[in-house]
Amino acid sequence: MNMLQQPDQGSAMKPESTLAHAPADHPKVTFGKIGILLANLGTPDHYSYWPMRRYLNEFLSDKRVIDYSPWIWQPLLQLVILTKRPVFLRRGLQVDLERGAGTKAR
Amino acid sequence: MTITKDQTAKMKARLEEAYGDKVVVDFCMRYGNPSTKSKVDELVAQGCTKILFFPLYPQYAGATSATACDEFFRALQHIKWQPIARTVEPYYEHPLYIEALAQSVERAYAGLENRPDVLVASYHGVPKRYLMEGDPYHCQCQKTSRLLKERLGWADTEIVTTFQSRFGPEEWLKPYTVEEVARLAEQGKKRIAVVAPAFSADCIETLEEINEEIRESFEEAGGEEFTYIPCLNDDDAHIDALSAVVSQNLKGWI
Repeated sequence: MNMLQQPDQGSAMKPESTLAHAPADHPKVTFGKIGILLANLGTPDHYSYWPMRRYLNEFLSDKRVIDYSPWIWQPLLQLVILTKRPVFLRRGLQVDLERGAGTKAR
Repeated sequence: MTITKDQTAKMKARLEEAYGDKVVVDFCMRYGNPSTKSKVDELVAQGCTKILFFPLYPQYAGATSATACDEFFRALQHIKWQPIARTVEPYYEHPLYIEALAQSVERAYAGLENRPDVLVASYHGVPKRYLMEGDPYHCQCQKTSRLLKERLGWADTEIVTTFQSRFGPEEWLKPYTVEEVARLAEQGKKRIAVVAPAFSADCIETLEEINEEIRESFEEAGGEEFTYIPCLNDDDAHIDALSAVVSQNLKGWI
């Protein structure tokens, strides 16, 4: 084998097999594949109030997104921003809580 | 979500054709469902001992790529046999991404009776403070616009770079799209087109913010013709670009 070649880690064993030296009651092991996981931002499960609030809470509580101290930010977020619709309707992402009901607020 | 599903299905077909059942392709969300953790668990259950994690943001920002990777790393924390993990670097300067972007602009322009005076490349904004504290997002956006302009063979005056979606009291990256389009209309640029290179899929921020709020701002300032150029979504050229990025990042693994 060329020194630069990668060892084929999956070839010694079938992708799903019982290990010869493991306890007999060891579950079957599956391994050797490569996962490719694409990641995007996400959407609320529904555009009604609670799913929307849950989603926005997760998003706006992310310190990578809003890096204010939680002591200041969380009361503001929980008590004002997530409670008062008009405030978060100002932001594009949060438009139209009542899309399902066909109301448009802008 | 529908667009992400379509993108994933096309990527899956493309990558399985290239690598067979050695790879498992799936998607996850940073917020909401399907959660990153649920998908990492599924991949591990399917026998993935290596995972390539690909945040679908062409330009890096702490608020997008980094937080997606944070969530991925958190999902790995509780796994007994932790997969070997890689994250994909930003792909804003990949020639195939620029090509896909340029083609989408050319396609839109070809369908117009009158050529727009200016192309506005509108990126999602972040507070200016993030830039000052070391986030390279602003730089990567500027370079994207420059590469796009060079690929299109246009003059500097035919494209402007702007930032949208500002909220809160702080100053954000400028110019703000909503103000810039009004300024353009007042300067006599009555026809503009807007493209959103930072979004790999159309969403509320492109469909509603650009195509409604920003359009209105332009029209109220006297603008006449506003063309919104859709995101790359599941365009074949986009899938080509994303697949090429994946292949490059699989080197040494496959």
